[in-house]
Amino acid sequence: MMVLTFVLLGLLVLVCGPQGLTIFFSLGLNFVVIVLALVLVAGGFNPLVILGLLSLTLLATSIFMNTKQPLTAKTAFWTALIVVAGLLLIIGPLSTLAATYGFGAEDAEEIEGFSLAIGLSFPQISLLMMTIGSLGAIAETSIAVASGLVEILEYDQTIAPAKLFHAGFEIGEKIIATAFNTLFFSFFGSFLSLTIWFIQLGYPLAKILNHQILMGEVISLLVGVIGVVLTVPMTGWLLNRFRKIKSNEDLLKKP
Amino acid sequence: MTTKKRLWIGLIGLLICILGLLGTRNDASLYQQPIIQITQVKTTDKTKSIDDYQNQDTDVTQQVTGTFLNTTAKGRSIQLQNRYTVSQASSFRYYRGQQVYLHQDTTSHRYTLSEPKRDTVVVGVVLGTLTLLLVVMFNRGLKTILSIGLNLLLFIVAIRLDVALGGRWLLPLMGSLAILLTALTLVLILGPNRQFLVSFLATISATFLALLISVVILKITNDQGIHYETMAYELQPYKTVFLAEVLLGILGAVMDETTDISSSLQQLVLEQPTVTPNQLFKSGLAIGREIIGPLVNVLFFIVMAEAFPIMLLYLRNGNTIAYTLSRTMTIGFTQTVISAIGITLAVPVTSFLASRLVGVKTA
Repeated sequence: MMVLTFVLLGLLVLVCGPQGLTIFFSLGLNFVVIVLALVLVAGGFNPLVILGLLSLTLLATSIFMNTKQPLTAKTAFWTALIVVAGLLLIIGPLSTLAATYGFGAEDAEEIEGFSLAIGLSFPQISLLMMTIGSLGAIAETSIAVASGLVEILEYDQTIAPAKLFHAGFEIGEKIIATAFNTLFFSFFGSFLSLTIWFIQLGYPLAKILNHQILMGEVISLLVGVIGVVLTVPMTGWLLNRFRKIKSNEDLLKKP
Repeated sequence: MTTKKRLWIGLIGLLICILGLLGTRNDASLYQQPIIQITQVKTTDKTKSIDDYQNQDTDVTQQVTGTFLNTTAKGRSIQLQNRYTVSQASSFRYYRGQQVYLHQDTTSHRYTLSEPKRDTVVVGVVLGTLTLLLVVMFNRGLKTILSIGLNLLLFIVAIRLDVALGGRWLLPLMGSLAILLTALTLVLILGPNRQFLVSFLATISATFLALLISVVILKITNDQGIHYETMAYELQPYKTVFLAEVLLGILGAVMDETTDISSSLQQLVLEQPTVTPNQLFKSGLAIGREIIGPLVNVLFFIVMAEAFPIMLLYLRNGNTIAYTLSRTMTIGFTQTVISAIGITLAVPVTSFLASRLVGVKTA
């Protein structure tokens, strides 16, 4: 495991130069931050408060450490933050209605011998899971759309807001499609063994469609997709706002 | 696309959504397992509990009244007891209006509450997401949905084949599946052109190269530090299943990256026809550098999030952080590292292939 990690570090430096170090350490930092957050939740801190702090920190590290252009980073950060906050409004009721929180029947062996009455709200933990799971995809999309739009803005500073917003959709289309694939294949990967299990034991379709673990994962995946789709118009809209503020300041400074 | 067209797609989508919700809400007769709809819930008892690790929780007993929606008992009313802990780690709190499966004991014929019916919510979310996708982008959205449907179908066929073959050919099967799915997905995104060739070759070679390097290193170091036995659902043989999972898991991210780099380079060639292959290669690296970090994060956050419940269970059951991580994170961590190696390798591989193949076209 250690050797593999060093190989990754070596490759990153080889391909990206000094920036490879930044990427590597931002990953390490994210790992530490997530583990720390879980330790705090286990220590009795409210999962929803930790959810807010964790989202803020992870978005900050993954956006500001990977983007050099300040306007891109600022737009991407605020977009991602607003989208994540909006998603919470969808995830909250969904997770309660679908009752996909906690451990399922297939987890029985893994949790055998553990005390389950641990006084932590698993519905809230499920909220934390779904949000953090979709955070990466939302950050990636917002960076991609924002950097594409900022490039257009640099080329033509006087572009009309409506036109810039529209350009966001054009850039966004391809990004949504590929981000959907990224999420979907990662879902394939993590559900390979469960799917083999279903087919080996001949689970009927009715059971699969109501399956606690699988449906929880389907909902997480789709929440990620919804987040990605919402990110596209939000990026265009916010960039228009930020740039207005900027041009107003310029106007004030000039005379 | 005009606003009017978007509005129409949204309206039709919404209608289908509502039909789906109503349909699944009233589909109990299609199920063989007895289902009730809860008409009344009363909390009858609350007891505080403290476990061996000083965790405080509350055991609650609910009296649930419901009406049968299917089987020969349809229309009949029934009263049942439900016990749950407030943390709801493996029990559910029931609400009025919820539809719930019952379990009937084969000898005593007595009913007990089994678990909530989930199809209504899931169908609602699926249809809602698809509608949103189509409202934002109709043509590309249709293509995306088509590609995902086909991928899902092929995935299930491949696993059926694997089970039929007794699981011995899992890795070769998943390897072929990966190649097939990559080709299919990229053709639908890019169309059958030169850029498709670049992305396809780059995705496949970077992914398999990353797996090869990782397998060799894991073999040399004797899997030091990795606890395969902690994998979820403990499907044997651990290592093969693990590799197959990693292989499928990173494909999407690598495809994302290779299409991104190759389309940017193609754009560059169109704008500056005099650009040399070496310059193209360098620009490819520069573009790639920007996307490695965010892409690795996407997979990393998903893998980490999946481990949250089990990690918290370990921590709350009096285990140290180090022990908890070794039992819950080594698989996810290794998976992320291998994925990151693949994502990193894809940058020079795509840049190289694009610089040669895209360059040839202009020469």
